[in-house]
Amino acid sequence: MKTGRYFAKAEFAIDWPVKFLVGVIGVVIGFFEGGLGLWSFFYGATPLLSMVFLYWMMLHNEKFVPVFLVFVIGLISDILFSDILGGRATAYVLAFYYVSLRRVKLLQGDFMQIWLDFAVVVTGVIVFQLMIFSLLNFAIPAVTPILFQLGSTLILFPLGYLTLFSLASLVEKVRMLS
Amino acid sequence: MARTSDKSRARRRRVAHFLLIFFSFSLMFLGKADITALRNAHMGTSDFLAPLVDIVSAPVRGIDTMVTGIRTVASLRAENVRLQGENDLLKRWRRRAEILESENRQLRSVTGAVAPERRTPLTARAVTAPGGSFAHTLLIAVGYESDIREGNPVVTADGLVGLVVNVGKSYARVLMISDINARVPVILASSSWPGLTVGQNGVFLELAFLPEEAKPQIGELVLTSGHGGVLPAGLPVGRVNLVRDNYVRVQPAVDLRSLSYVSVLTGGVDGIDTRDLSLGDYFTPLPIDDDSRLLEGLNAMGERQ
Repeated sequence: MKTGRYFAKAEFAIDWPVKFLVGVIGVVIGFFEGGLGLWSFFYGATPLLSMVFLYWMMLHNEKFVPVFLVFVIGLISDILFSDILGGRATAYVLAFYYVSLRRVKLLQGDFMQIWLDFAVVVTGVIVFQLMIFSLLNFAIPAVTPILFQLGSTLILFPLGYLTLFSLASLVEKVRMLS
Repeated sequence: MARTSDKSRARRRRVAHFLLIFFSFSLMFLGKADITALRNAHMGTSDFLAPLVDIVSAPVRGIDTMVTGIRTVASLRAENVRLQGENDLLKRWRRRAEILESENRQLRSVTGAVAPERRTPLTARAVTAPGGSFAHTLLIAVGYESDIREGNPVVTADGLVGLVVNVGKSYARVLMISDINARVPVILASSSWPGLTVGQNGVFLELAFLPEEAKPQIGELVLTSGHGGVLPAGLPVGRVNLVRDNYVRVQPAVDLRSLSYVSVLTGGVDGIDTRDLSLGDYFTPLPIDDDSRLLEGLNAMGERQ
């Protein structure tokens, strides 16, 4: 009985530095996303790069992405973008549960299915934020930037997905060599 | 025994997930309740994160500068011709301004009018620009260390950018005029009709609460009216660029998409309660009545009183 508990502790000890690293990378990507607003092309509607990263991680390395981490990344984005506190964080947490449910099916499917599911996730995140915003402010913001944000995120998804895959295989090669 | 332990672990996990979801939703409502402690924590976090964002966004600034550079080189000749034309026009305007300034001074001495309250401009660098579709705010690299206070107007040479709404030690957050919660009391420059510009989280503003008699013209300048005392009167907000039925659209005077540096006008908010600052709170549209005084010396019909 005790052995099981010790194994659990040992597993936790192995995982937590990786989880921490994933968190740091997620936050840095969030910062970069915030910085993109300075570029006039993405003014008021930066692509959700942190969502691309989290989605990829949730699909391929789900054991390193605890729900709390997803919440924290969302919360930092909320503070950075001065959005409704907890709005994006909640949307990310709900997206996390959705991807957890669909994970096995998606991993068996092809890239188009993954992309399509990502479109559903991002649309869900944005629509959720829009609903919360409209409910709390009794106003509907301009729809064009929202559509631009959605479109740019979906267009950049294959690029982000491929980049993350390449980086992951590179890390794996380095790990095998060392 | 092991199964019981697994079950209890699963139950604990379920409870933790439920609590997290509950906390997430509660946070949204707490945030909206605008509790001072939460606002301070928000600004404190922004103060802490801003230097990190500044470092991470350096490549973006580099790319933006490079793109602008390439565009400038490509259109150098046309730009030169345009600038020469603009320079001639500005020289003519300068002469006209000098004449008007002298006339203004003479008129002031006659009427005994009080000069607008002095404000000191302080230059600040923009650390972030609006990135999300739901809030148009700007983080600038000056805070209460530089005597910045909530309610200070933020401008560029072209006109009004917004208003300081949160002040941290070294950073402050500016609510831009394009934000959906920003309402700026304004007047139409040529007819003096008062109104309110309302942000839409987009590129343009809506000019609302104009009296029915007002006939805004395309290209007409929109200036701050100074109602409420938070914003000084006479700051350019934008120009009317669309009039359709009762909808009037204003293009901001400042290109809000490319802000690198801004000026904060410090001072001038003494005696004004800025603890719960919202641009709209300082302006209540006056009832439209022939006898009501919309502006100093004007009635609803636009006649001098």
